[in-house]
Amino acid sequence: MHKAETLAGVVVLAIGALLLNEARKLPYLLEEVPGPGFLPLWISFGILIAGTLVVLNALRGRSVKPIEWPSGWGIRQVSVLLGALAIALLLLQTLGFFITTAAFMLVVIYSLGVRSWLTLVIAPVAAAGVLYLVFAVWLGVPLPPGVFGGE
Amino acid sequence: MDLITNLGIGFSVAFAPINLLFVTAGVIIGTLIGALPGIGPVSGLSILIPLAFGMEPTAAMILMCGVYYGCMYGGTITSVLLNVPGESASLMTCLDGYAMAQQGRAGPALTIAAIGSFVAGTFSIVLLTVLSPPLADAALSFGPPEYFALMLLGLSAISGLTGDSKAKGYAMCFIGLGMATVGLDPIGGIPRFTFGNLELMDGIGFLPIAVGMFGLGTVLAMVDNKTEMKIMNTSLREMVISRKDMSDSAWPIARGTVIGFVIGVLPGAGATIASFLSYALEKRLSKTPERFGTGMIEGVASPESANNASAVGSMIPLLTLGIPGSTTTAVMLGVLTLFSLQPGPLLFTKNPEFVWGLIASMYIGNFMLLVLNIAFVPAFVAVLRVPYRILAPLIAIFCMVGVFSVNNSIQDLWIMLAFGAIGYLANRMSYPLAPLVLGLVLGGYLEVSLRQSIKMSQGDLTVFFTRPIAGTIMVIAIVIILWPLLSRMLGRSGRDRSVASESA
Repeated sequence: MHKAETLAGVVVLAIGALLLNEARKLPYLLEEVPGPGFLPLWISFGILIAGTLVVLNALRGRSVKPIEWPSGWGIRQVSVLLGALAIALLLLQTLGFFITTAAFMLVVIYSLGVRSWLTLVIAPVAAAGVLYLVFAVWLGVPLPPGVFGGE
Repeated sequence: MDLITNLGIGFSVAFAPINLLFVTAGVIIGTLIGALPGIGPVSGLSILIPLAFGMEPTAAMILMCGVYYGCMYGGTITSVLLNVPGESASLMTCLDGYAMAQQGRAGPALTIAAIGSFVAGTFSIVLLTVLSPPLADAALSFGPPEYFALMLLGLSAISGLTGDSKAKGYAMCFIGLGMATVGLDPIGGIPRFTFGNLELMDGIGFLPIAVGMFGLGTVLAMVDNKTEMKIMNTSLREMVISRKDMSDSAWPIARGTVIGFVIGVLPGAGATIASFLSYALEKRLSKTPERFGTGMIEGVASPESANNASAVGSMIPLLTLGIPGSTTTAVMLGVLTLFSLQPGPLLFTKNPEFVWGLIASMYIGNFMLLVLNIAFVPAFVAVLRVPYRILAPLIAIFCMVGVFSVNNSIQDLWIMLAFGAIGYLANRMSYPLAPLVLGLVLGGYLEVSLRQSIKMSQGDLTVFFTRPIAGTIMVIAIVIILWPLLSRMLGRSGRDRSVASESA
């Protein structure tokens, strides 16, 4: 658990260092008044200090709550959901809203353990339907038609 | 009296059919969100942001507020029936509420929770009505130094007082502030950290971040474990409570209301802390403290009143000062900024229909919730039977379509996805999200007040301390920041209360 905590702390430090580096390129003072680089610089110091404290705590093994990592099954579900969402994102405008929504639902609920044929068919369609009602009908938002061209 | 006129305007706005529709929708959705374990008001509001975007600002705020205090009612349902808190402010209710349910007294528990919530909510709204105008007036004399000090107080309170690790809290706060600096510099107009990306000129985008972190992040937390839930049956007849129950609960409700309201008003402390403290107080004041946890109705009445009172209380700093009193109100502030509505004293003078319409609709909403939570509990329980396997992906895709519908931007979706993963990891590793959100939302205002203050004082940094109001607030903020050091020096063993800051 210390490894993960330390790594996270290092990430924080990295963010701070990145901000510091970029902030230094901006003018600190403009006509004797703080300029655009002023606050980002101090913020980066704040991040670095906090990050150092986090890393120190992690190295000394002083974490208040041990991290509970999910089971293998859990990790798989999280990955499936994120992965499916990423693919949906990429294909949203090509395949269109309806197919993307339905496909996403199908993939994820199957991964989560749904095996009933009825649910596997109804849930994706119902989900796409509900979303259509909310966004296209109620809010009047144009949704990508994709392969259905002009829905 | 001015107050009556204002309330009159408010009620005429609140009773407009569209606003009535939205307050009804808001409280129902809020109750459902509160009841569903794993989703709290912060996640629920974040998921709804894309919807709010398509609505008129007053209606949107009425909806969101309805969801907020609705959650405080709804969280009770699963606490009592399942021993699972619907959201963290209902945690204390599990103790005695579930015990009562096991004794066949689920009905009275739910009923007293609804009554307590209604009393606390309504009383707090009255206080909101009465206190806001003078507070807003006083705030009109606030200048940039006062605002800077207030924001510093809010940020330090959220970072230093909630969550397990203060270092992590501050780290998240500073990161949020850093993220707020992306985009055009508010005073000079120079692009910062945009790396040539046109979409970043407006800033990273509160909407995809909020929906990602709180909406998607919550969904990921839902799917990573296999917990099933068994719901106890409740029949409507059992919802009647005895006179003894009422009289036993009277003082706890009163005390819970006061504690909840005061804590709600304080920046940084929210419903969760309010419910903890009021429960602890009841236990201490009781003649039979050892029976707490076995089904004492006081143990339900008090925290339930406190969490509702604090929800309303946290609206006060938001509306009068523009400083959020809790994470949920921080999200609301983010949304109001999207609408180009600046909460604060000017809101009362420039948009009175908005403010008073909102306040009036809170009275209406609370009343609706009283009725809903006593008469329609079985309906809500039925909705809880929808398995997570269906609900989780539904929410995820809802978030995605929602974010896309706002700007038609695939980049927004990537940001949402990234922050979903980040939010999930942050939760697992005890990095509190509240300070990040607050930093992100307040960052812009903070910078403007800082730079304006220094410009006003022509480089003199003591301006923050020489002005009386600013000075007082700055001192309090500094005490909060240095508190861990101070308490260690004073020899106290820092007993870290692991308070869930997410749904505060």
